[in-house]
Amino acid sequence: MQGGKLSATELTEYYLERSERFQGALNGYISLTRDKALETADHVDSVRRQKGHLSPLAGIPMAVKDNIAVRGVPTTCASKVLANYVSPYDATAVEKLADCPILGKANMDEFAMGSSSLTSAYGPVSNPWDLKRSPGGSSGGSAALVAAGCAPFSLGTDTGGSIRQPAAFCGITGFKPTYGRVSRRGLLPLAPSLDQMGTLTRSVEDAALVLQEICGYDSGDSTSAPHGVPDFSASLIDDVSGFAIGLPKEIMESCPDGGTSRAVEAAARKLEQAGARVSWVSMPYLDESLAAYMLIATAEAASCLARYDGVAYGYRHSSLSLEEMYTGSRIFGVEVRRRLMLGTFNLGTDSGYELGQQAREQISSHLEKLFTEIDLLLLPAAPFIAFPLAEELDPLTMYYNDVYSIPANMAGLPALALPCGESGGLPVGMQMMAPRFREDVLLQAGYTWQCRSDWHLRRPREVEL
Amino acid sequence: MIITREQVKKTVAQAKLPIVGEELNGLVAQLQEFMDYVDALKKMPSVTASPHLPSSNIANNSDWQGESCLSQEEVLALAPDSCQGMVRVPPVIEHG
Repeated sequence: MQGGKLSATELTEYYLERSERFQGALNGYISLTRDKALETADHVDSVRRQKGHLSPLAGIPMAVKDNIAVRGVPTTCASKVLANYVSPYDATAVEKLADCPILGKANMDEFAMGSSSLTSAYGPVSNPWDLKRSPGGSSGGSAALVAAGCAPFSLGTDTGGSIRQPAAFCGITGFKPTYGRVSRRGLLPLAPSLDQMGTLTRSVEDAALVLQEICGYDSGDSTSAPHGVPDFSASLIDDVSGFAIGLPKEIMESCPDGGTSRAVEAAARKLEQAGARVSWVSMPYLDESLAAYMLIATAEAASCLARYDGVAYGYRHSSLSLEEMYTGSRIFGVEVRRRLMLGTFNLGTDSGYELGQQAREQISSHLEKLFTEIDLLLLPAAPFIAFPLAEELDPLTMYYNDVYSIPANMAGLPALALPCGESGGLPVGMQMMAPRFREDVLLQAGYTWQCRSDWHLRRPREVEL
Repeated sequence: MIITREQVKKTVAQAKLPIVGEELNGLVAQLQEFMDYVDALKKMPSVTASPHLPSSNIANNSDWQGESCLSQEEVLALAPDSCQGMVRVPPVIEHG
């Protein structure tokens, strides 16, 4: 585009056409925003013609998960409760990407509660590798669209693995930055002490470009970290010599999908050949981490979603009684109702939330100690590969999808999911975790991996041109 | 902890959720399973911790300075109506 060979409008038209063509098969969007996208693209082209200032990603279209506020566009969180809610402002991350045409709002699990994108009130999302399978969740739409080539990149959110697990299921690159690194202003909260916005891209290189734009301190988010943002592109080096990589023995030995553990171990050996020192480490308290997460996340969700009672936001049920109006307005789906019940019950007990926080402290402290011996952890992004849409998983099994990703949220660590193989013909993702604010370590290790593998270059057959 | 149907009904009322019948019965078992699962936490080595956010270098929480603004009395004096130190507003729903 900078050379004048391609306009932002042409590029946006290409992705809009592809998005519209595959919407029936994937259901990746809740709303497509053709006019808004073309308006931004036209503005970028006009500024470029006049040789005005543009941001580095100007004219590159994106999809935005539907729990991230975009001004003048419905922001539904995949819920009927917010079906008619139009955001009056842009999230900070969206503001920072103002020159990127927004193709549409990506489908997701309702209020980000799920690991399948099956709980959306707007219908399930399909995995472009096998349309009868789940793309994971909750950022399932964001992941499916990037994997299908309907968007060059997308924004997602990750509370317990909601960027990394769908990235793994769809064979793309998912990056959850350190808690506080990207402003949460404009992210409709699920669990504020765990929520983090991040990226879904085809490569680590693309992730670095987008992260460079969206990271940084924001006075509009009380949990924003005042740390400077390094030049992430400086970390795109094909070299891991001297990196100490820890492979968690408990996880590698007990991963339910053998193909996943084999692919991750093979990746570790390849990084070893590239100069890294790989050793077995212990990462205990996985079940406890999931249990603590459920206590904390459901309690915070029950508190955050109390606002949806028909008074200030969203759907209002017509009723003569105030109590009936409150209750009748809370038209959440089954999974959200279940989690709100767990959270409300847990908040009513003497020690539920505190117990969760104590366990969180223990888990964080263990990880902190581990990172005095290693530079990064390498483990599967998820215990399973993409499961069939028709498969009825009981709630605890569904929550188990996030068991390998939750520790990063509990400790506020940055984590990166990368394609590293296949199992049963479906993508397998590995995950790297690093100490807080060490995104540079993940980018360098991830880039090295992608220089020496081609899993991120493979495309799903279901959505071939 | 044994979860009873009464406790679940009370939680439904607290959460203001439209849950009745079969769904309510199912939630008794699900809450029980959930509470049994989180019981595992009690076996972890105990630590003393206060609820915290993982970002320890948060500036916004500590450097906020209150700015001078109207007193409560001044605000109430400007309001059309007040009651027990609060602004009284018209009812959202008229009771029939």
